[in-house]
Amino acid sequence: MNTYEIRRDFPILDQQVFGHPLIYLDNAATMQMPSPVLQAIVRHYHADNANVHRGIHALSERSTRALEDARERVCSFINARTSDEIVFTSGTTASLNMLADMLVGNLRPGSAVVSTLMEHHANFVPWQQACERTGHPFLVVPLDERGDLDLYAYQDLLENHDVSLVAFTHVSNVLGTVNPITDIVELAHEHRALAVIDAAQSIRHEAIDVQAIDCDFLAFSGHKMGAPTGIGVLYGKYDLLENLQPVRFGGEMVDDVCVDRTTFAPPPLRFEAGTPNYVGAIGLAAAIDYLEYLRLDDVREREAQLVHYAEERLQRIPGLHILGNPKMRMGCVSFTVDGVHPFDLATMADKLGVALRSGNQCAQPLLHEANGVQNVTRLSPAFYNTVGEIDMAVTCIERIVKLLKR
Amino acid sequence: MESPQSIQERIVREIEEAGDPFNQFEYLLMKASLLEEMPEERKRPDVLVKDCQSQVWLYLHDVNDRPTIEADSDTLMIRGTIQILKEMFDGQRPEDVIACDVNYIARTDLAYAFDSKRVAGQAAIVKRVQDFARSLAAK
Repeated sequence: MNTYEIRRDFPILDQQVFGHPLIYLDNAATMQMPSPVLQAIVRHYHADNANVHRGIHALSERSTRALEDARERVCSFINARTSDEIVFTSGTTASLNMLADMLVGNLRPGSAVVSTLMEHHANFVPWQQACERTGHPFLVVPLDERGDLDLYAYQDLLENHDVSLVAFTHVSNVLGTVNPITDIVELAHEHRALAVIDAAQSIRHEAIDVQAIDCDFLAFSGHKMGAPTGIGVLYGKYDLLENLQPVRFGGEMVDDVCVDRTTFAPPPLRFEAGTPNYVGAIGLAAAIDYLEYLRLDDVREREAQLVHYAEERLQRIPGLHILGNPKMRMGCVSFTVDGVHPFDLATMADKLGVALRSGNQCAQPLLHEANGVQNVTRLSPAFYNTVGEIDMAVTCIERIVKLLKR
Repeated sequence: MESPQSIQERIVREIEEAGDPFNQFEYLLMKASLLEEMPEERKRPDVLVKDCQSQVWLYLHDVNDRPTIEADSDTLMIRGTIQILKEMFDGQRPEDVIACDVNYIARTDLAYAFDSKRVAGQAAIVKRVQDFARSLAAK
């Protein structure tokens, strides 16, 4: 993988920020869009733009075809059985909220929903709130001291409670922990529980095969993989989607509307009320093309090298503590520094051109309850970053830490 | 006594003279170092300023019918802004505090370090101080 050649596809990276070359290391929040994705979006707006599904005219037909081609592209990317299992949403958060709203009320009476302590709020709060509304117990799998899921505790929960749904992340957005998703799904199924995977952080790093994993639902966002913001996916096994009732209503998702009743279209349209973000979907398909052109295995290997290198370099800074030491880390490294507030650190790094993220990373249960900290700084490289950028970022962090501790 | 507005003009000049945004941030750190640390036992949840992303503990004192700010924060940057507010408002006539438009952040490169949530947090602190000044003026 030739990073310098790849960077030509990301003109946004070639800029100065506050007089310093931009070093963008906030890719776990949003990855930059490569030129082919931008071109696909511009091309669609220039040539084919019209609302989908509704018009009997050439542009609408072309727009509709492009949207449905994008659905097919996503289907093949995650190896779903049929594109009818691909619901377009505005992102992971929307996917998981919609799913929680549709599913939790229909679970076995009295059964529990299980999530984990390492979840992003998007895969924690919707389930917690849905359980509060419906009276289902909400149980949380703890972590071990390394920052891996405590799989013994998970098994205990399954064996000692009637669990009907398990919602967990593939990769932690704070620790970078990679969870053994196939094992987790298998255990869930052995105990008659549905398995929901938040793949927001893993979708760029790893080829996901929903049939091999056998998960029941999976959610991810386009903007973490080079697509525009505002497009995401909810994958669901068709027989499960078919039995879910929609919770958002409007145009396109209905079959027959009468004064006294409404019937709904089959999946996936049933879950896509209103005008879908079809241009976002076209961008998502272009992003998938781009990642496959680069080869996902190479992307994963490159990013793993960068994360490992960053971890090695950071831990040499006195007083810096990297959160977790999981068996497998992917995508990001989060850390605290004794006596230094992450906000001060990230703000000063920004003034040196280094884009990091500080805060609770939308994972308060993980930070507060598992690690006893309020905020962290997160460094998350993508395949277009260089080792030199990691060096420069770590040098800046060292300089800032010295200054803040003065 | 130099008025709050005049102090603010001087601070704007000093920030601009500090140089690039990194050095301007260092200026805030220098200001933070001048702020007395609040004893831990006074950092009570009930004195936290709402709407601040960082934790800001704020007490306002009436000293001879003029305001005095006692505050601290968990971030150095906000400690720096608190020190600036102290320099502008401590011991000033309430009507001068009320009349002052606190805008030194928007007028300098510090604005790049303050997203909308932090601007709202700063505004919340200033509002608390000016409301306190109003209560003193109404005495």
